[in-house]
Amino acid sequence: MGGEREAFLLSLGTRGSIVPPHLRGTLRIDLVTADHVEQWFVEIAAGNVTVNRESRPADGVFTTTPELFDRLVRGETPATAALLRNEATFAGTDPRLILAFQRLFPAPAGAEDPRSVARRHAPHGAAWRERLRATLDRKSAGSS
Amino acid sequence: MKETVSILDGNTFLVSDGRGDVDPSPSVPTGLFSYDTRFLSTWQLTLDGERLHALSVDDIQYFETRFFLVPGEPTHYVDAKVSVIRHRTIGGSFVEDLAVLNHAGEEVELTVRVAMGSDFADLFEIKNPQAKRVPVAVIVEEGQLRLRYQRDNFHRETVISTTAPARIDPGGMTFQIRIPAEGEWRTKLHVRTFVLGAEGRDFRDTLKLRHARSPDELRHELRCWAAAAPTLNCEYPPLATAYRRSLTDLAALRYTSITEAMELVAAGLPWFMTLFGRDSMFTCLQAMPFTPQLAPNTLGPLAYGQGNRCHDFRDEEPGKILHELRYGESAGFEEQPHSPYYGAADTTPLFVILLDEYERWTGDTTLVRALELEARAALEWIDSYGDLLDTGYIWYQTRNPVSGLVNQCWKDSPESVSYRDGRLPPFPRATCELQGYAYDAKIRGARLARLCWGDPAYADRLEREAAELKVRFNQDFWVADGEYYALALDADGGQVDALSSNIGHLLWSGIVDESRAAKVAEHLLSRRLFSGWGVRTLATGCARYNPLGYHVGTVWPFDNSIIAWGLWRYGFRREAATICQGMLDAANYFNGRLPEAFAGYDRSRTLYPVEYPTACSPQAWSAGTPLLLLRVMLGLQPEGEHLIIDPAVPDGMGRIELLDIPGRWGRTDALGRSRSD
Repeated sequence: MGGEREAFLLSLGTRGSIVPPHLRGTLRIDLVTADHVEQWFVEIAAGNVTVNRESRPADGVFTTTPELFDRLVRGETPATAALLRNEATFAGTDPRLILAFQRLFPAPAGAEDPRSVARRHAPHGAAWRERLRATLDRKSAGSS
Repeated sequence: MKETVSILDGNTFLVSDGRGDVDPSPSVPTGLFSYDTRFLSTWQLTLDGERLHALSVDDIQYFETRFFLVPGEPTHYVDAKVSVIRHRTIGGSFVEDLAVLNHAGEEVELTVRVAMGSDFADLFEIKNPQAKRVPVAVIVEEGQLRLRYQRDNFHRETVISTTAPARIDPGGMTFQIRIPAEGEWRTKLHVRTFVLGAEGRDFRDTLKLRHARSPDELRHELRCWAAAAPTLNCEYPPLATAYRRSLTDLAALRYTSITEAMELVAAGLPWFMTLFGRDSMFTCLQAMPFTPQLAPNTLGPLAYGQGNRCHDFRDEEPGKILHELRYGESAGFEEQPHSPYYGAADTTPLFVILLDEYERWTGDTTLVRALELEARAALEWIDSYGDLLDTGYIWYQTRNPVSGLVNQCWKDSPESVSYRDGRLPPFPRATCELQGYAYDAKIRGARLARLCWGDPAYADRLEREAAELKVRFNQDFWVADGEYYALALDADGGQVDALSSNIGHLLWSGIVDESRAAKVAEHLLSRRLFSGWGVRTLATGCARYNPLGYHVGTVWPFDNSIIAWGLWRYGFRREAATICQGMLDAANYFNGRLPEAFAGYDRSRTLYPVEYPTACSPQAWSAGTPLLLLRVMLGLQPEGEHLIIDPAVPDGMGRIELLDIPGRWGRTDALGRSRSD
């Protein structure tokens, strides 16, 4: 499991703009087990994310267990919900980092594009869309 | 309905009965609440085993109340030997100063008891009562009672202490007291609420949020808040009362969010003491001429919480602005999707609309530049995920069949959208006002793109798309035989042909063809929609019309304020004034505080506005209503660096003077007078 986690965190730096550019701050992730604390240091600046293993003070500290973190990485639970049920904690001066941070995690597996779902629900919509387009095309042809 | 008394500070509030007691109830939202958890569900005072009766209740401030009580049931005259004064405040924690006064010429011996308890219910459990998975632990400690609820790591505590000695048991505190002749006994009961997080500390400490404001600080802040708003002088007392009440209620509803160390406006007591995308943004729009500082404090958190993935349980999509954020147990354990929930199809265009309106008033282009990415993502959502069926309209359909909202517009109750004959349309649905908001967002987005983002090509594109949308909309939504806009389109492109108040929002958005505006205004003021107090959510004659139906017949003050704004926009000043007058007359029956909704009965039938049974009060966008009505009556509209003032005051209202209106012009005054005066 540790490999998946590491791969995810290290990939953050290469995923390009995943956070708004005006958002900046540093975050330390402390993954606590009975006898060990695994630390990660995340820096968010100008839309980019840098990740390393440095053990440094940060604007915010996100503390949880490796197990919960792995669930976040797999998109099985949202970070905000984990914080609300106190399975993870956040301490720091800028609570907005929580919302920025949660953007980094993936969606649950199997989430479908809602447009495909809706179009399946509305099978007659297709015919109507055709009619609609035809009318609009006629209109724009007429006005030009 | 039993009279309730509420005090609140942000999202901490206490709702009790008229004597100050809280009787335990699994299904009624009385008690002490904070961050969506009930911390006290029992709080009952007895003297020698007898309940008390209120002589009077003094609502001093929104965070402070005094109850004057005597033992026993009321008789035709009261000649009490003892009386009780309960003086309570909320400022971070709840404090009750309890004083028992002996009016007799001799010493009395009394047993004073306060029964105490908590069920730690999540607000959602009170809406739909269900048993807790874990029992509440009660711990009797030296001088205090500790109530503890712990489910896995989720940990809430209520700690109640007393300054006078008490016999403390798991059910409360008993005081055996002797009071000398003409004497007094007092104790201070202090109720602290703990939301325990990292290292067993309260999360508000860990996050360095301002934990508590003392009553003195609250008094000071309220004075500053009221002083910063424009001064109203008028000859119509109901307007003056409603204005003062609105400013105070908006002050009370401000709270500090967990995720953002700034003040937000909660939507309303008791169900909606949280950040609601829609309610918060509408409140900011209504209050713009008065308290523009609310807007950036709302736009900021909503931007941070903007959706960035497809998440079915939360109805989240990239670019979507959130609907509702909750802090309770059910959100944490994912029994409810509010962490946050994104099931609203109107919040995303409203985000762009609010950003633009804010800039028009304040000239704060810095914020518009800072939120460019989010605003563009919101505009992108309208044409991508918002347009579920690829028809050029915004549609909605929840992907969370268990706890998602079926109707993702402001009328979000399950049966709010119906055909004239009462049938419910299948999903997805495209309600008309959503298309109006999309049109307005594109027009306003184009202005921002030109003014602040240096992207005229994008502005041109948005304007072109808006123009096309307007053509399409006027063709597809116009119900020819009724001469109004359909409430919605169904998934086949058929018209959901009920006549509803939604058509008023279309005027506000500007999507209505000029040639049809008069007809829309006529419908809004017709007997089918206008009750005499305001416009009903659904017209009489529609199969589902019910004067007490939440979104199918009641009159919503917020809705009416937007409708009045819409009528004003198309030049129907007299019609707008009629609505302003009706609403302010109604406000007069509620001491200036408009409820969430009232019944749709004809005014001539009931003579007073009948409150909807479970209406929220105070509610932010109802509190915002008198403010927007003032704007409409005075005809306030920013134009470049100036404020246009073009009043149309209802007959008989006399003179209205609004001084020191803040904006890009600094401060300016507006004056209006009804024609007949």
